[in-house]
Amino acid sequence: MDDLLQEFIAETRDTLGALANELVVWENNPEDKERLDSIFRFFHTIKGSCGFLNLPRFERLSHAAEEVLSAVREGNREPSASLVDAVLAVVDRIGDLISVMETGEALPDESDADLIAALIDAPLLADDQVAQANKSGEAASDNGAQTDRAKIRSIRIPLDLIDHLMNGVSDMVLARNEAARCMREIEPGPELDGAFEKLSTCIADLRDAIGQTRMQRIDRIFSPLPRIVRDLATSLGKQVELKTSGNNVELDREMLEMIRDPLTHIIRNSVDHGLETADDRLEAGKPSTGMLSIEARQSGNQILIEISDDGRGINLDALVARAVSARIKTAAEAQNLSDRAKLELIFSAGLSTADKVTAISGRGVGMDVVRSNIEQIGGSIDIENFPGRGLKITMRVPLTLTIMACLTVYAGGQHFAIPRSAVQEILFSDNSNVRITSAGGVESAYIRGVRLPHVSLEDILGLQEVNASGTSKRTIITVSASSQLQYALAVESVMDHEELVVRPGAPLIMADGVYAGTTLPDNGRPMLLLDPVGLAHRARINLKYQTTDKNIDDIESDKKIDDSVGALMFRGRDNRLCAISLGALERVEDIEVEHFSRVAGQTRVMIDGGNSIVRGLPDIPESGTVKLLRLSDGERHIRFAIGEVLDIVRLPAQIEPTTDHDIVAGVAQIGDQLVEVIDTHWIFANFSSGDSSVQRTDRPVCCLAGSNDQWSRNILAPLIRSAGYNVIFETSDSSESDVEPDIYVVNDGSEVEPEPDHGGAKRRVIRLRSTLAESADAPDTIHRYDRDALLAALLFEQQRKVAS
Amino acid sequence: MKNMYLIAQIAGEQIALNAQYIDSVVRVRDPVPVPSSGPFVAGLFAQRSRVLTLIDCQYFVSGEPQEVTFGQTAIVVEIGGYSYGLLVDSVSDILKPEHPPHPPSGALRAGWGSIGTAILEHEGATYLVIEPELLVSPKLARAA
Repeated sequence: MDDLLQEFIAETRDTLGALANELVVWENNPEDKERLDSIFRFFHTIKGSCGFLNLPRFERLSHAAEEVLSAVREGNREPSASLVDAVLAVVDRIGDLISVMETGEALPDESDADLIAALIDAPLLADDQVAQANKSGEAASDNGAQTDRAKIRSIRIPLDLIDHLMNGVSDMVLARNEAARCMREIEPGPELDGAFEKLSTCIADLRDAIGQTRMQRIDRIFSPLPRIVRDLATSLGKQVELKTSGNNVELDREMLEMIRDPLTHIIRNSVDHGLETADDRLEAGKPSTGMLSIEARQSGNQILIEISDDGRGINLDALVARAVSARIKTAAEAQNLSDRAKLELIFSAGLSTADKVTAISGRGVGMDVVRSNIEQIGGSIDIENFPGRGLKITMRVPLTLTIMACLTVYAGGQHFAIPRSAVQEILFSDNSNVRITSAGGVESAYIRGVRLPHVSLEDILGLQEVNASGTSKRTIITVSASSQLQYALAVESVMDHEELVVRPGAPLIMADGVYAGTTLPDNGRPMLLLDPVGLAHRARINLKYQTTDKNIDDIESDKKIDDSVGALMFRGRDNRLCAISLGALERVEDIEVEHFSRVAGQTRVMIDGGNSIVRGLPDIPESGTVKLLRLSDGERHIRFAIGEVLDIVRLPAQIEPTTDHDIVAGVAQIGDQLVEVIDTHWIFANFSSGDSSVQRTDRPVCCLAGSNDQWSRNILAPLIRSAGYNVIFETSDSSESDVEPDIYVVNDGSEVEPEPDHGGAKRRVIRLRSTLAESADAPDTIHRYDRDALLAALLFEQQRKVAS
Repeated sequence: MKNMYLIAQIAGEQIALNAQYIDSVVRVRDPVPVPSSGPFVAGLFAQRSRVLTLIDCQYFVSGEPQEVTFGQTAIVVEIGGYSYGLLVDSVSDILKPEHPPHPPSGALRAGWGSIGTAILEHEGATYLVIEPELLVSPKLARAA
C-alpha cells in the first residue's frame, strides 16, 4: 500500500505541476473547453485513485470539483469568476495535502466543507465569501511550505536509464569473469585474491540491486481492477464482490505489462459470462453477490495468479456444440474427446462461449489470444471447470523476462539454451523405458508407454550430428512447448542448467521463429535460446496428434506425480539399489578417473577449473569414468559417487523409515523391487561441514586484533574459520572491515587493545600467549597451540551468542 | 559525422558507408554460427556484453556464403536498437566528400543493386554507397 501511496503522490505532484499553466490559462478564459477538459481529467484521476487508497478527503474534494466542472461542461452552469476561484482553491488544497502526505505527517485536522460549499454555491455567493475560502487555502499552503521536504525518497527514472545501468552491470560481470580467468593463470597472492573477492561481492550486490529496480508489485495491475469490476457489474446489472490477495508479490515490470491485458480479459469474461445475475444466482441457491477472487503468489521462480469465481462455470456441451459449429472439430471428433480435451477447446481460435456478443467481451478475441500472450512470455495457463459452481484459471508466469532458468544442450557441435520451464524430463536413449520407432519418416518416442513425436535438434536446425563422447547414446528431452504441444527432442548431450540473461536477438534471427533470443554466458561466447514452440512448428509436429487421444490426460497426471515425489533410481558403487529425490539433484556427471585424487584422506575431483570433495568414493578405480551426482541445497554442493543411473521413478507416498540415523532414510517398494531411499538432509548435515567454499555472511565474526603477522594469518585464522567464524583483521592503523566483531582474539604483545564493551554490548576477548606456562602478569590466557582450549573457548562464545 | 564516409572493401570493390551509422570497427574472433538462418547471417559475436549479429556483406554480391576468417574486420553498426557487425575485407579510409553522393547513372551490376543506393565521388575515385539497413532487413532489400 505504501508504494501505491508514494506513486499516487508522485503522479499527483507531476500532474499538478503540469496543470499549473493550464489553470492560469483557464482562469483568464473560463470558456476554454480544452483547458476545462484537462482540469476535469485531473480531478477524475484523483477521484479514481483515492477510492481504493482510502483517502476520503481527496475523494470529497475531487468529487465536488468534478461535479461542478461537469455541470459547466454540460452547460448547466456558468464558469463565473467565483466558480473558477473556488475550483482553484480546491486544486491548491489538494497540492497542500499532497505535500503534507509526502512528509509523512498526519493530515491537518480541518474540514474542507468551506471549499466544497464555495464550489456548490459559487455563482450565488458574494465575492468576499469566496475570498475567505481562498484565504484558508492560502493559509494551508503556507503550512505546507514550512514542513520539511527531506522525506521525499523516491524519484522517477526513465526506463532507458535503468536498462543502460543494467547493461553496464552485465558488462562489469563479464569483465569480472575475464579477470577471474586471467587470475587463475597467474596465481595471485592472497592480497589480490582478497581485493578481487571484495570487488566480486560489490558487483554481485549491484547486480541484485539493479535487478530490484526492475521489480514492481503486482498491485500495480491489481489496483485498477476493483474499478473495472464495479463498472462492469453495474452495467450488466450484476452484483460482484472482488477480492485480491498477494498484492505485494513482485514481478519484473515488463512482465507486468505483458500480463495486464490477459488478466483484464479473464476478469471481464468472468463478470460477463461466468457470474450470473442476482436472480439467477438465488435460483441456483447461491448468495446474490457473485464472488471473484484473484490471488497472486510466488512459487519458485514463477508467479502464480489464480482467478476464480463462483459463477456457472463452462458448459462443456455448449462449448463442444460451438466448436463443431465453428468447424474447429467435427462432430465425430468431438464425441471422442475427454472432458479435459473438451475444456481445452476454449483456447481454440475463433470461439466464444457467450451466447451473444456484448460490449464487454465475446468479440472473437478470446482465450486463444490470452493463452498465446502468456505462452509468449514463457508462462502457461490452466483452467479448472466446476460446472454450475465456478471456474478457476491459473496463470503461471516467470519472474522476469530477462533472467531465465535454462538448460544448456549440445547438438551439432554447438551449444544452445532451452527454457527450463518447457523441459519436463531428461532421459538417455538407452533407457529401457524409452523406445523410438519410425514410420513413414516420422519418428515417435514411447516413454513409459506414452507416445510423443520424436525429433532431433540437429535435423530441425539442419546441422550434422557431432558425436563428441564417442558413445551411441543420445539424450532425449521431453519438451512441453505448450499444454497442447509435447514432444521428445533428441540432442547430443545436456550440459548444465544455468540462469541466463536473455536478450532479444536481431530481427534477422528472430524472424525464423526457432530462436527466442540470445544470451551471453560467462565464457563470453554468445548462445542461442531455442523457442520450444518455434521448434515444433519447424519440425511440423502436428498439434492434433496430441489432443485427439487420451494422451494429454496421461501426460498431465504424469507431470503432477513427477512434481511431488520424483526420484532418481540408481545403483550404488556397492551395488545397492537406491533412490534419491530429484529435488536436490542438480545433475549427473561422468568424470574420467584421471581427474580424481586422494588427498588428506579425502577424494577430490578437479572440475571446471576448481576442485571439490567427492563423497562415497573411498577408492578411485583404475580406469574409466565415475558417475557423480551433484546435489545442491541451493547454497552448497555435494558430489556423490554412484554406480549407474537406472531410471526416474515415482516414490510411493509411504516410505518405511529405518531405525538408524544414516544415509538411508527408509525403504520404498518400487515395482517388485525394494529400494533404499537416500536421505538428502542427512547428506548435507553430515557431509558438507568443512567445505569452506561458501562464505556465509551470517556467521559470527571474530576479529584478530593487532595480528598482522604470518602466524595469525596463516595458522590461527584457518582454525578459527573452521570453528564457524568469519575472520577479520584489525591493526592499529587500519581496520579491514566495518563489521562489528562478536569476539576478539588477541595475541600477547599486540599493540591493539580492543574495547571490550564497545557500544554497550559486552564482548568476549580471548587472549593467547606464546609461552607454555601461564605467567602471573597475563592471567586468563590460552597457549597459542592449545587447540582444545582455544576451540572450546570459541565454541562457548558461539553458543552464548545463539543463546542470547 | 553525417557527411563523413568510411571506405571499406567488399568482394574487392570500394564501398562507402555513412559514418552516422557506425559505432566502431572490430576484429572478429570465434563467431558462433546461427543454424538455419539466412545465408548472409555469418553468426553471432560478443563485443563486451553486446551480442552482435554478423552480416556477410559479400553474399549479397557473389551469392556465395563466406567463411569468416580469424580476426576478420567487421564494421559495427546499430540499426533499430540492435547491433550488427558487417563483415568486410578491410577498412581503408574515412573521408569527407566535397559533393554529396548522387544516384547511380545506370543499373548496378549483379547483387550490388540490392545494397547500394548511390555513387560517391571523391578526389577522382568513385565509391558505391551502401545502405546498412538494406543489409539487415533482407525483405526491404528484396523489395528494392
